[in-house]
Amino acid sequence: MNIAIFEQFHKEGLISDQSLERIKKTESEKLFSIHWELRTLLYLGVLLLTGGLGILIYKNIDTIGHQVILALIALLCAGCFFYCERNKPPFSFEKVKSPNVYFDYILLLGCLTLLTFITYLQVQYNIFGDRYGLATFIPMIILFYCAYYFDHLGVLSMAVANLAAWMGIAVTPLKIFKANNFADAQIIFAGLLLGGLLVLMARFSITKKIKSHFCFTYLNFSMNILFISCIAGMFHFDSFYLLWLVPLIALVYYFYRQAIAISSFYFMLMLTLYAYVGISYVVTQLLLFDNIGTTYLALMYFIASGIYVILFLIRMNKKLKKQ
Amino acid sequence: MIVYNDNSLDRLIINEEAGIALRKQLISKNEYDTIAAAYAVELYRPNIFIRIGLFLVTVVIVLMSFGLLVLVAADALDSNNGFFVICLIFAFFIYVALEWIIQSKRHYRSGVDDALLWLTLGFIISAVNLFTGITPLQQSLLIFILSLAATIRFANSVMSSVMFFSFIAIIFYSITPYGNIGKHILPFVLMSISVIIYFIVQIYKNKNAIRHYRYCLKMLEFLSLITTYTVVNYFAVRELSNLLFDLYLPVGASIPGGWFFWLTTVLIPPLYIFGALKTKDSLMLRTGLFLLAATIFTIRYYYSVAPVEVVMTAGGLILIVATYFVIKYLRTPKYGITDKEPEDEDMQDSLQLESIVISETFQKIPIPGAGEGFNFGGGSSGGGGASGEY
Repeated sequence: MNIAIFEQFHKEGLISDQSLERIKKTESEKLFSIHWELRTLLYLGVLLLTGGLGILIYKNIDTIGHQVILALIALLCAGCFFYCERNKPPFSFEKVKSPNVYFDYILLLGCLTLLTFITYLQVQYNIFGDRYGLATFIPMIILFYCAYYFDHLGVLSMAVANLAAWMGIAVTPLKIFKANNFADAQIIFAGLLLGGLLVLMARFSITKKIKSHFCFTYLNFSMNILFISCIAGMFHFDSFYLLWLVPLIALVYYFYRQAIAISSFYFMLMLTLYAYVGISYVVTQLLLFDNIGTTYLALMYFIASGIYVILFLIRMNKKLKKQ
Repeated sequence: MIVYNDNSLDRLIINEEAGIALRKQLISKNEYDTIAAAYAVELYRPNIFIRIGLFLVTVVIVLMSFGLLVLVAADALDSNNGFFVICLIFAFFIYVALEWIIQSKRHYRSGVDDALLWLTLGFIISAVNLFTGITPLQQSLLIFILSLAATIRFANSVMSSVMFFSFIAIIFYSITPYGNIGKHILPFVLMSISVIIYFIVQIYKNKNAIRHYRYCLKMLEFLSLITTYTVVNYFAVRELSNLLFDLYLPVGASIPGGWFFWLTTVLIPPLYIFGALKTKDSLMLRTGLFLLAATIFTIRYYYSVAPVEVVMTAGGLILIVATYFVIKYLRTPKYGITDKEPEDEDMQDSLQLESIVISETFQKIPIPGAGEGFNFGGGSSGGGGASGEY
């Protein structure tokens, strides 16, 4: 900090004597912290060690055997969950603060080793056979449970990703449509379904006050999935692209309301960009014939709409900042 | 000189300082508010997400306008020269827009000005490249002059890094034509220049008169530390001389004067680290640690003592144990060095973006129906936004 500036404040009567004293004292006692450097080195050490051990095990797998490795992973996983269970704060439907810095990482490690364990079983022993849905469904349930039980946003994100994987797999076995090139269409509709489900979960977590801070994660996933599905639908069903404007505008409206409600700049930016891409696609589709005149119109559309988007963003920045 | 109003930028510094003091709870919220009111910043600085959006949309607008201009003028100007002139005129107009948006709309790092600045330079440089047979030396000279002017005018730190690299390129291209002597003295010349730049920055970095260029100077400081090492790193010198000067060294053969480059490769990182701990310079410390890793890779590239997994395991173990003991040793601060989490402004600078992202991601979500328009406690609003700028 610059002491001269604060002395100036003091002279102008903007800060009290005590504040100036406090600032001078802090500044003179200032120490050089190498906290983050040391933490980075520690992290690097862990990364190197686990990587090195991983390669060592991989190279010597014939002498060690799969059972031993599975047992090791299971042991590590169980150890992590045991620690978390012992140290976790009492369960609550509100936000729970984690007891210490390591708790979150150990829980994350436990969940990751759990996933590794299940994947290992499937790859090596084909334990779920061809029921791939089950192989993603079981970890998903466990992850959702852990996310709520231990209150961890990272695990929740993993759970949502697993839900998406499960839904993606769950809709594909219907092989009949594949011949008609409906494969992509299925993914698009599954995306819309998933996004809708996540919106419901976000609403549920807020209205029922069950871990209401999970709302942002749900909304974030649902916004990206819904918009991407919608725009993908526009590209895919090129004869019905105008029809896709209806859900797109509905989405923009819904997430605009949400962005205002939680005064989030991030949501505002994303919905603006998605809406701009979608609407511009429709406009260029409508304008681009083999005609130089419409090319002029398209270019002018981009300039005019771009200026409008800039004005819109500037206005939104003002609006959100005020809140 | 600088396009921004001195007074506005000073107010920005004052607000930042007050924000730091508030975060450290050295001044009260009331005091902060009176300071912020007395030194209101009238520059337009939107939230980082809005800035990203403005940047993207500005690029779209400018490129589409260029397309329109080319379409309109296509018939009139059917030659390469005409196109070249159009590009330059267009660049001139973007620059005028940039000056206008900063001077009369008071944009300061708003995304619009960033986009216009980069597009101006982009148009000039690509036009010159496409339509004139420019040599690499002239090319670097052109980029250097443009980025130097842009750095002075807009105090943009990324622009100053472009300036730095183009300067190094100028030296490189002007020395290499001088045959054997040139090749041999090249690393030494580049190293001396980097060292000289570093010390010039050291002299000027705390001068009050150029306070608004502090981020540019920091960038130059960082880059000169990096190049000082890189140009005398054994790997860089050996492989680059092989590649650029057709040395065709057989595998395992050393370069002339190889011992010197080994010496510098091994010595510079520890020198940085110790120097940094002595002068308490976190930028230099991080650079030193990063370059230490580069040295280890260089040594392993030429002398593989053990298989990679053994090196990784052993190195990881050593790192963990060593850090553990250092952390334990620093439980009580020694020589003014501590392991406590820093709360000072340097950290704030480098982690600014991160803290914004975090505060945006993990911000408190107001529960609908719980009395909206009701500002509890008047405390800091979501971490990173405490200084009221985002």
